[in-house]
Amino acid sequence: MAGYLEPKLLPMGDTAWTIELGDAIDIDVNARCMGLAAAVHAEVDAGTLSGVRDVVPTFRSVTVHFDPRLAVGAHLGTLLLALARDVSAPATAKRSWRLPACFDARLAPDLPVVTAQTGLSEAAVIAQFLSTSLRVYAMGFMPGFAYMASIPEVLACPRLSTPRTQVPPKSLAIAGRMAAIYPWVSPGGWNLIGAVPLPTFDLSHSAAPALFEAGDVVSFYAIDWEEYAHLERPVADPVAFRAQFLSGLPE
Amino acid sequence: MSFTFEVLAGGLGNTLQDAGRFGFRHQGMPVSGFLDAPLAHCANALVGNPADTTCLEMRLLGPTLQVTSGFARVAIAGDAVASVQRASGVTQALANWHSVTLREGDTLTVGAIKNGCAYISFAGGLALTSAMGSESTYVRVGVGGLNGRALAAGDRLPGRARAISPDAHELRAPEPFCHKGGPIRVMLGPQADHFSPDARRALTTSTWTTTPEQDRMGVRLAGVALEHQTRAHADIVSDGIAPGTIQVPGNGQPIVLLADCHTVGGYPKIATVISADLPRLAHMPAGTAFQFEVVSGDTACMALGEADAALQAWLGRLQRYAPSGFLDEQALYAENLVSGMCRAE
Repeated sequence: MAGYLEPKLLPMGDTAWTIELGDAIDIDVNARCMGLAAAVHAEVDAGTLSGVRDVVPTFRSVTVHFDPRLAVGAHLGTLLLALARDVSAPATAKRSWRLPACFDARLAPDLPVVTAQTGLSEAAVIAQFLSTSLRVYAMGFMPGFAYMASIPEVLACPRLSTPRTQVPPKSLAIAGRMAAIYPWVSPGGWNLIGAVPLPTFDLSHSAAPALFEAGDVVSFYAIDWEEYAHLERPVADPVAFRAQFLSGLPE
Repeated sequence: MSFTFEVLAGGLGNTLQDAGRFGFRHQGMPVSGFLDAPLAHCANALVGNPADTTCLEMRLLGPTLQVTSGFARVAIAGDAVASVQRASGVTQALANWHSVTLREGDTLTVGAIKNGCAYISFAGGLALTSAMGSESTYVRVGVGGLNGRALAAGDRLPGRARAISPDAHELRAPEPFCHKGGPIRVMLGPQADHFSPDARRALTTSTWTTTPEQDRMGVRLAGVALEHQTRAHADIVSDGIAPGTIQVPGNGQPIVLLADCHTVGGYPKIATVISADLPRLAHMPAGTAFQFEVVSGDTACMALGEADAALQAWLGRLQRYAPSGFLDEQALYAENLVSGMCRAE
């Protein structure tokens, strides 16, 4: 069973607590993590928790970073544990994105690897990928990087045996049951199957530069090379540009 | 009036930092900020700045900065060799822990940083653009500071509009600021139970040595391999990490994470350095040997209070001084501070 009957309160020095709700990647556990993060934010907004600096929900836990000069660690831990015991998953996801993805060979160097691994045609790989909506389980690894799951089991491929030293930004990549979009040039070992023309981390959105937050739901539709090139051009109003891909709350 | 510096030489590994970028870790954005906040506080106090004013953090080799307009008061906290070449051509050593006022044409040259981290503060602060609530440089994605990168020749560092008063007193500290010595104190967790009892013992009984593999993200340590309970315990589902966390990959060699560390990680974390002792990790060039000591949360809390009190006591001992001859003659005559003239090192 992925979820614990009793949440675990784990100390991370004198500046953070990790509240662990389970030991595996599981949609129910993750949804409860989002519920817990929201509950912590609500307490902070209500002024009942002081000194909280960051609330970071991940796959199966929530880390609450605090200023040890403004919060008494032991007291905060007790309050967080109480919140975790009562927490329930939010009824709906925060936001739902519908994003364009281009699978042109120029952007998808590992599509042949995936077809070889899965025994599916390229068209079938793409169709499978587009068939499900994904959930952002956690943010991390680098600013704006979202761990999205779960892609269909037939697409599950191991990481590349030799990771790339430079993955181009905007690359859409899969490994195991997960998918991600690389916000920056970086090393990476996931299979590149396409690209998404939006920046997934953009400082012109000063309040929230990252496109995604944990708990978001994401689905993709296919675009061709020309449309990719068109959408990738710099835009006058980045906020409106980003908003057009938000399809609102999922049903 | 304010000032502008031109960077004649960028040095190595010098970045602008403030207290850090909080509130964006859920978006994957590291905190960054001062590796040694108390030391930066010292530098800022020496020029009359608020504690968290952005400073230039120096790790290896300091920069060469020339005042191209106005006058600027600066101070160096930490152990660095520095000199000032006046526009007149006169060169004098600049003592650390002393403020100094530089005028147009004066050049400040900072050489080797002796124990891993030192700060230059700028009276009145620099005019920088804040990104996500902070001016701290995070080089990996080019955010903050000056164009999101380390200082380089040709850069310009403009002061904020707020002027310093040219006849304000210079300040100095009677002795360097030092962190408390002894073992580096840690609290066990969050995943101490992923390690064998031998490994948990070895964490505190063995001696650790810092390696050259270190930067603002973390310091890799050399020592005995810390064994996980089983091989399966060497990987976890990625979860939150923080500066100070000691993560241990499959090879058993720990890495202490620092200010620029990621926000999540997939290696188990045996323990976390307490915040009172974390600034000391900035001062451990490769080959530094030390030990860890496990303490409780209460002890960590007390240690932070003691560290804060020690810093306040140091700040309380700052003294006005008259600089050695090349500055502010009026103040010298007015106060007849002849002893100040003796500082001619």
